[in-house]
Amino acid sequence: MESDSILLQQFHKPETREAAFTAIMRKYQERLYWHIRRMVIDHDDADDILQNVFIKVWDHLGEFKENAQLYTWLYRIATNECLTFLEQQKKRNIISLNEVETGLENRLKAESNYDSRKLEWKLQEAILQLPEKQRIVFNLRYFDEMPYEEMSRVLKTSEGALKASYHHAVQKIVAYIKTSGESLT
Amino acid sequence: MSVNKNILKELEELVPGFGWPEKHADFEVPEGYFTELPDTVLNRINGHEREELPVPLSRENAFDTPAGYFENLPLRILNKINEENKKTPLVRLPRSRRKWPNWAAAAAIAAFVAAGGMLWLIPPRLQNNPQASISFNQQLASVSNQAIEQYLSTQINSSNMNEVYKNLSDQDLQDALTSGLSTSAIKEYLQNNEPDSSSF
Repeated sequence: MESDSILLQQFHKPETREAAFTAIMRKYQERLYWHIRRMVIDHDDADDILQNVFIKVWDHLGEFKENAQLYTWLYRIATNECLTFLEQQKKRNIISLNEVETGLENRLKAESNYDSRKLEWKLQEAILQLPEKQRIVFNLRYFDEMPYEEMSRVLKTSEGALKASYHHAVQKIVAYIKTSGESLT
Repeated sequence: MSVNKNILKELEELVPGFGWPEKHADFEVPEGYFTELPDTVLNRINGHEREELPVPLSRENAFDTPAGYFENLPLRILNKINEENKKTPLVRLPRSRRKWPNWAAAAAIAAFVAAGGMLWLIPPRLQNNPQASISFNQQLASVSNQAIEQYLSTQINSSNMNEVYKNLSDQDLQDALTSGLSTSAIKEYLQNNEPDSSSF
């Protein structure tokens, strides 16, 4: 797989632009998809958001500064798109944040593989109880194994604040699972 | 997919003995989704399905105008105004219809006022002096009736009208009212020109 630097050089040449962009999509699509999917739960919503993310990337990749990491930049766009999507849902349906979370929980429970007795699904339920920003921090650390330094660039927040946020998120998740899950496997 | 061991170790340090799941929940993804996604995105980028993209709100006006529209607009409006002015016929408003009895009534009132005005014009110091009064009346006779009526119609007001009435005898009033004027004409005039009650 080509390095980001080479792919960016190819992207700047009209004759290799589409090929370079396809390579960038193939390289990052799964990671970005799962980052988005865990935020919005529904596949169709995740698909819409991811496509919009890549179209924005196409439109603005020419302005991307190579001293920043492409991976960080892509995550920032994806995160912002997720937050915008969730915000639009609240406005469109004139519903509260709690109702959005209930909607997400219902979608989670509608997943074909969902099993409330399994700890990994109970963890997903617990994550949905977190405030949106805390949820992003937990997901980036737990699922994407993102170092705090990099997360700080994605979310434009200090590492200390992110560590504190992660710590709070963990405590809330543990409390939720302990109170609701008695027969976990 | 299994959870990274370093992450599990970190969590174990944060919450000892909790027993975090070692694998991720397996969400379902349609088969072949990741294979097809790049082509789907490129199709949208190349315009095949680009119209489905939500249009970002912009300060720029989304509507289009014909080329040169605003440059030519003032001239087009001025031309239109000029054309309209040429087309518009001059319409004379109908003059208000005045009936002859109104004129007659007005003339009678003017004559009535003029008769009273003669007396009002005589200065009070002359009114009790017969010789001086005769001399004044002779001078006044040389002034035309038209000039007197003109003067009285512009100078007399409701306050000095009372002075005119005081100096008129019943006979003067009777003569003034019956000088070629019908009762119906007088009534109509008074209906159309309701007098100010403060004058009486």
